[in-house]
Amino acid sequence: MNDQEQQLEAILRARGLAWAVDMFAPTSQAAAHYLNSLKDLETYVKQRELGKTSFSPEALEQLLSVSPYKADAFLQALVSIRSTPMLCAAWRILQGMQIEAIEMRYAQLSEFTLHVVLRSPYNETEEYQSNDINDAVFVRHLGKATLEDKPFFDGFYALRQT
Amino acid sequence: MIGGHDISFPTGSSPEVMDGAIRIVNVFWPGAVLENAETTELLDGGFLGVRELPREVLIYKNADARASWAVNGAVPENSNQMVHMICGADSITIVVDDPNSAEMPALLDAISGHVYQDIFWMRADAA
Repeated sequence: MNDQEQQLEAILRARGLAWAVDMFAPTSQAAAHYLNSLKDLETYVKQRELGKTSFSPEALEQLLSVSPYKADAFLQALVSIRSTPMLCAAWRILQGMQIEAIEMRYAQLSEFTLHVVLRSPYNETEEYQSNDINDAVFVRHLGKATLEDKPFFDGFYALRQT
Repeated sequence: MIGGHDISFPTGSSPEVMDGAIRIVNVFWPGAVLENAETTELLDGGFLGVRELPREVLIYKNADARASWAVNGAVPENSNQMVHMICGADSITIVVDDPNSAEMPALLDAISGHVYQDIFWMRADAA
């Protein structure tokens, strides 16, 4: 493993995600896989002109130091969400985007679609879509509240490790 | 505050809860203005980002409310025009002037539902 792979594996293990490393055989492939996902995300964010963000292990360490709960939510998303657009949607919610709308459609052995619309405080919308059923995990991380009996998804959160 | 009431919510996830509570206040008050209570620095309340949140935040209903608080202080006209949010180690405290007037009951009810939701207890290995 190179230095970045070692650093990322150490981060994942330290944040309770050892299972996401150990599920690979050999386990040394795990960090390389997740690093690729992070690079794909970096490219995707750049292509959609959503800002210039680094997702290097160093940047994740920095995120952990200032906002560990958001770092944990992002790391859990990294190891469970499969598609780059949906991982990006999780990241954008962590950054502060509001969840404007979600549509999930499923038909046994036929169809899965997860469509997410986010809205910024400046009224710009972003749409994300996935047809990978593994991305249903995205919905598990959403916090919820009711505002005067109306539904409100209030954020993207880490699940508890203990 | 004019005669502030402290409403404290115990939680083991206070920074996350505070983040979500700010989102909720932003929905109730779309023109809300956020201020670091300790430094008076303004925060981009609509787009909190992934930085560390201050321990105490003042959320004004809008820019006019903030200006009025700055000029007039705790006068009756400023009642319930601002929420003071305090992030403790194991609690979050919301200070409001009158929890029973205007939109405060609905706001506090929404924050209460946010604090006590299952996501803050859901185990990763059981999800």
